[in-house]
Amino acid sequence: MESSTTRRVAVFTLLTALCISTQLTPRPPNVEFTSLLVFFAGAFFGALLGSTLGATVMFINGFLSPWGFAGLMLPFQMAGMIIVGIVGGLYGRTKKGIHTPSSCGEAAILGAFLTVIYDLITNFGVAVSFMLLGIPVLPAFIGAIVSGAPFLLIHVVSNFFVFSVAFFPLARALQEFFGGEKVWRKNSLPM
Amino acid sequence: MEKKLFTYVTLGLLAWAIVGTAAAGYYFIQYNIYQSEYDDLVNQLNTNVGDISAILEGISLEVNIFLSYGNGAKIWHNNNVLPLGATAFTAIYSIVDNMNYTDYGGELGILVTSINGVDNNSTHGWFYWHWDSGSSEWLLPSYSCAKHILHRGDVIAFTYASYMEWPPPPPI
Repeated sequence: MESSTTRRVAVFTLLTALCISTQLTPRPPNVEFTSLLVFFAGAFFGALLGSTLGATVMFINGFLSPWGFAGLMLPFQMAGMIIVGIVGGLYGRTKKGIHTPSSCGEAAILGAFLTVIYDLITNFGVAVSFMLLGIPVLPAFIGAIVSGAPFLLIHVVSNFFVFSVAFFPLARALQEFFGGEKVWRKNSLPM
Repeated sequence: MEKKLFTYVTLGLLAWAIVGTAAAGYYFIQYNIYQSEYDDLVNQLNTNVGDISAILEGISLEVNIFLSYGNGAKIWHNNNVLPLGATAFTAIYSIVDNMNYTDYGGELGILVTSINGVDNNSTHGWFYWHWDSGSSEWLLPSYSCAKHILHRGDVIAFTYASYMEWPPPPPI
């Protein structure tokens, strides 16, 4: 068990470093891997750790992002990524640590849906800045969503593919690395 | 299992619906923006059509061209609109159906050798004339028609005549 815990700590640390570094790396707008990694962390380490990772990464990103200081958007980005971590945790709980090829489709749909939720939340952040200029809530929110629609589309489509392609191989690898319930019984890892 | 599948299908359709609605809204807004810009442009063109006419007149000129084929056939081509900087050569080139010429280059310039099937030969050829409104007479320039830069209201003529009589008879 100690060995397993050590492995889990090591993997979570690696995930955190990977998540922060990819988030801070210059890339095409709205093409990101943070959602996947936070969801993944939630699925394997629980909703609390997953959402904490998401919030931490977005907090750091808010100050060090290549796109500049997030400002008013920061709390909304953190909230969005907390939800991704929580849903990842719930998904991991339903799967009970056993991931099959059907996880590809499930993860892809969840990835796309969570991206929509994340973008709705962050667009509300944009709407808040409009509201500060005196625009009513609903027009401000709809205006933010409509004006950002191309970015929403890129984000959703890219995350759909990222989740569908990357989640299952990662989950499978980690499942074996941790010696998941079934794997543990079949082949005990050399210690 | 069915419930699980239903849940994922619902989530996928919901995401699709939201993204589709946002994209449709975006293209609707874009359509309205470009339609509005197009309407503004059309209105500007309609209100400024007088100005456009003035601009077009400012960069063009009108000339009258007389054409005599030497067999009694004489034709006036009046009020031909040409761009500023046009020459007697470009003027005749713009009104005839077919034309041949020889470009000698340099100071000699272009010599018109055929107009509408009437060719230069050993006894006859094409001459071009310029109406001098100051002295009220036709002048036979001693240089190529391609060197003769036209001015607003100029009158020029191209006549087919014999070389035997020099100077050739004026167009009219």
